[in-house]
Amino acid sequence: MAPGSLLSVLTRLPTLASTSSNVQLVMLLISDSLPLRAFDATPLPQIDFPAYTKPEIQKILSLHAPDSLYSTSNRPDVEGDLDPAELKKIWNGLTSAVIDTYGVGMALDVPTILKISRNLWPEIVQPIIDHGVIEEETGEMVYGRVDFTGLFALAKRKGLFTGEEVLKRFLNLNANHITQGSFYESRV
Amino acid sequence: MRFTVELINRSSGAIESRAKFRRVDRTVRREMTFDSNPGIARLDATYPCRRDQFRMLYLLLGDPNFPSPPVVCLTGFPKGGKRSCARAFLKETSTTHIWIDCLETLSPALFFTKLVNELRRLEDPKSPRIRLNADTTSSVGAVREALQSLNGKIVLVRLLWCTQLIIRLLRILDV
Repeated sequence: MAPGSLLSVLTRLPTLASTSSNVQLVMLLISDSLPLRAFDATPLPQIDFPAYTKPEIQKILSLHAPDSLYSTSNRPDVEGDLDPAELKKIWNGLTSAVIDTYGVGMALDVPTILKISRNLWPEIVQPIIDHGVIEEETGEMVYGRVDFTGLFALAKRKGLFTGEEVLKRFLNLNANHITQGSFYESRV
Repeated sequence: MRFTVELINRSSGAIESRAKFRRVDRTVRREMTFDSNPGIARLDATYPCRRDQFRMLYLLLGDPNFPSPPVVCLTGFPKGGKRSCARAFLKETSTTHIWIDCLETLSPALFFTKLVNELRRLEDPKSPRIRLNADTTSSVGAVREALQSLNGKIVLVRLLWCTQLIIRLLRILDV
């Protein structure tokens, strides 16, 4: 069979099932780039999945907001954590900053932005932990009001949002940790 | 609904107009079931910003008793959620489906072998695996034979990763 005709054969495959009245075969083709010439004579229904806009990416990433200031790299010494609403606000600020800093030039996708944001999270929230005060009565850590602009300025001073160092540090391009589709499928 | 009435008034043949009415009515009804479907609400919550795509999938494939187009293409940039949305949709609607990745089935012979084996497994999960040769005519015959004993709608999902590259590879291999 000529290689170019494989797709043509595939598109005609459902007609085989039409000989039997009990079964209907539907071909669902998923592709990043379709050789459209193969389908010239067939007006196929096409469902387009456009690239996500910034608000859409943020909406998706907000589902992955951390539920604590602490992570495996910075374990808490005493009890207490920030309010979930405050955590979400900082997370949204962080993802927005990551998209603005790296997303435009690098055309980053959702899983990569999530990976960078998750890796930056401990360093971003470290000043909040450092400035927490232990309440004597309860022995719990109490945190003050958090302003993301201030956190962003502190992070920038550390060099987190300048240059390509962060990308080199966090994106291990050779290690194929995120395979296509794995990020979304892990949530099903 | 006004749209369907206009269709009837404007059309000349009575039978044709009734057929059109039924078709539009079914589409409207499916649109209504889409909005009130709890499964779609779950999909929408898990995969935000893809409601339009789920609506299209639902209209084209959602009803097991309604004929679907023979081929539906999902296209878009990489990491756009095509594969995940399709998989979640088929799972949520409990549609019988077969996944075939073109990375695993580079040649037509491998593709047809996988397809026939998967079709046979739908009928009997314990059916022994068979291997087809490179002859396309016999492969098509095997597909037809496997389809004979099946019922209902079967969605065959074919993942085309870097299609151009694969076509070039096939050309090089002279398959």
